[in-house]
Amino acid sequence: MSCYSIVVMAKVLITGVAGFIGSNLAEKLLQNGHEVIGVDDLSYGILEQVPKGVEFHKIDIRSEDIFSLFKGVHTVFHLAAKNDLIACQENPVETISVNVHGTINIFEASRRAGVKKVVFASSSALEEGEARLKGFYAISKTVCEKIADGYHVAFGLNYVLLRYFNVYGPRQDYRRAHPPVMSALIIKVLKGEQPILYEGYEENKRDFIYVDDANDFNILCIENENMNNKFFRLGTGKSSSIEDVWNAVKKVTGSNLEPIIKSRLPLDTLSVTLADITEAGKIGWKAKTSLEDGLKAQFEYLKSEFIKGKIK
Amino acid sequence: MKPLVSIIIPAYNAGSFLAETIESVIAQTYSNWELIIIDDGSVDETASVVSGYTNKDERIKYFFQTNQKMASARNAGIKRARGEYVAFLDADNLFLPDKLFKHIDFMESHPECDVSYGKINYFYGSNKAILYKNEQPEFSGDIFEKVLPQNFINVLAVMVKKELFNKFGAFQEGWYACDEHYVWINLSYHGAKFYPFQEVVGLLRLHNANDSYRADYLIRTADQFTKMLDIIESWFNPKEKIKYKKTILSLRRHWYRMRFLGQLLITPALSWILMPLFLYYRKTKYQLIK
Repeated sequence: MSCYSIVVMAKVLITGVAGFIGSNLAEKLLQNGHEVIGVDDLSYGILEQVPKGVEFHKIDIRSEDIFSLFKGVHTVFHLAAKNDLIACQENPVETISVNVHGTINIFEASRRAGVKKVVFASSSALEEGEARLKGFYAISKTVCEKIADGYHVAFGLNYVLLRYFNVYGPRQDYRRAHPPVMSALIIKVLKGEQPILYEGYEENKRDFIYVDDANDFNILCIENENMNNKFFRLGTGKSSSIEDVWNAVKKVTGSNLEPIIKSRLPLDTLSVTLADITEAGKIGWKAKTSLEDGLKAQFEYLKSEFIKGKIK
Repeated sequence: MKPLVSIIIPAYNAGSFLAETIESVIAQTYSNWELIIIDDGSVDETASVVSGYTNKDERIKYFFQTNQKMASARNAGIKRARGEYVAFLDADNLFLPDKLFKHIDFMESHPECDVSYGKINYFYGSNKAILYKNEQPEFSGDIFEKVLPQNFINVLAVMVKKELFNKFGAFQEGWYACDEHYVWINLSYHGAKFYPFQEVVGLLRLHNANDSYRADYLIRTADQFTKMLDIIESWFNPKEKIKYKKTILSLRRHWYRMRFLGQLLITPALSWILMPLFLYYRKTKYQLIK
């Protein structure tokens, strides 16, 4: 090791460590030499996704028993949440309970333990228009952002809010009843079935960010004091249409399947999401992974899951 | 068959005025139009106001994007426009009922016209009983040299042949000032013919939140104007460089002085005296119509 590089090792705690972003983040933090405590109640998360080396605790984020785990922790990454939009709409009480009660419990635990910073996973859903904002998922995340600010004002606890746009990559939660578009397309290819696209697929665009790029930003949060008590949008600053995604999936998988085009769902409006990454750029961060490279990694992951017989 | 006109409304948290704005389009005496509403990341009731209309009138189309500012929203509208002509309407302003009819009437009888512009009136808040005017110079044909120093064409007053945007581009995204001015300069430099006509076609709402009433308006405009001049100079051939050298230089000097004035306007103690004077000066530009 060069004598110029100083590795500051911190003790960090990740909630939702068995989930998509959490498990990837844990892996990256361990590689960087940090000590990682992981928390998950495994209601959505998958135990085997938790990387070796994580001190894992199966516990509900709403439980007071969680407080003791925060002792000596420098930074908390609070990623645990109920986040399937449709499931959240079907079960508002549970959504608010897990996301809001859970979040304030994490902030309370952090305050009591003297944690330096809480990095909270918020969502681009707060910027995606009126209908989305009136959904219970966005309502819960809105309240959580206010809780973060409340704890800062009342107790001086530092926070960083990260509004994730569409994150993809290995371990994206394909098991959901309504899997994210990239997993859905790749799984169809693996099964040799025609993928389904909805009318407007050329015009509907999303800012897709690769999980590693998002986690690079997370890691910057540990050290950088200039990021305290601000919110950042995590996207690439470029949008890709669903057509672009399908073309990239075809290229990566070598598939020559033709998609089935279905008519647009009644409440679906044509839309474009694009993260304004000006603030994130000021920190010196930029998403590095191209759509094709990211999809390649996601395809390799899903292929191995498929071979293991895990994809039904 | 009369030509199709695409009307573009960029809307950002415009819920409180938008219904009236849309009604002013529905009330047009010319009926072959499509209205494209670009919701630029609103978090208010914009979407539900619009859905009340999209359900009733197929000519009205709604599109959502996360907030990317006015220029991007207008460009998104232009991209979706299917009309031969494009007209712009901001979410708090109004078309007068004959707006489209008068433009089409004029442009169909003047085929050489690429951009037609009428007159507009102004009103404060929601009081449309008292109207104001802001007399602007008018120029016909090749207006590049006239429009370069000052923007006398309001976006509410125009109708543009759509193909011009396909050829020469439209609004500059990421600009915080001069974005409309740039469009007229760009189109006129590249040969588009502009013609005015003597009819009032729209009403522009003035409120205290109007961008040009903000203290940093002069600084933003000065900075942007200078950058715009750089772009314009890059278009010039050697002959034009010589021809416009003086004009460009005097504009640079003018905006250098304006920037200095802008600095004074945001300097605390001075701004208490200067800001009211500045606002008073801006308001005197609007004369009551009796």
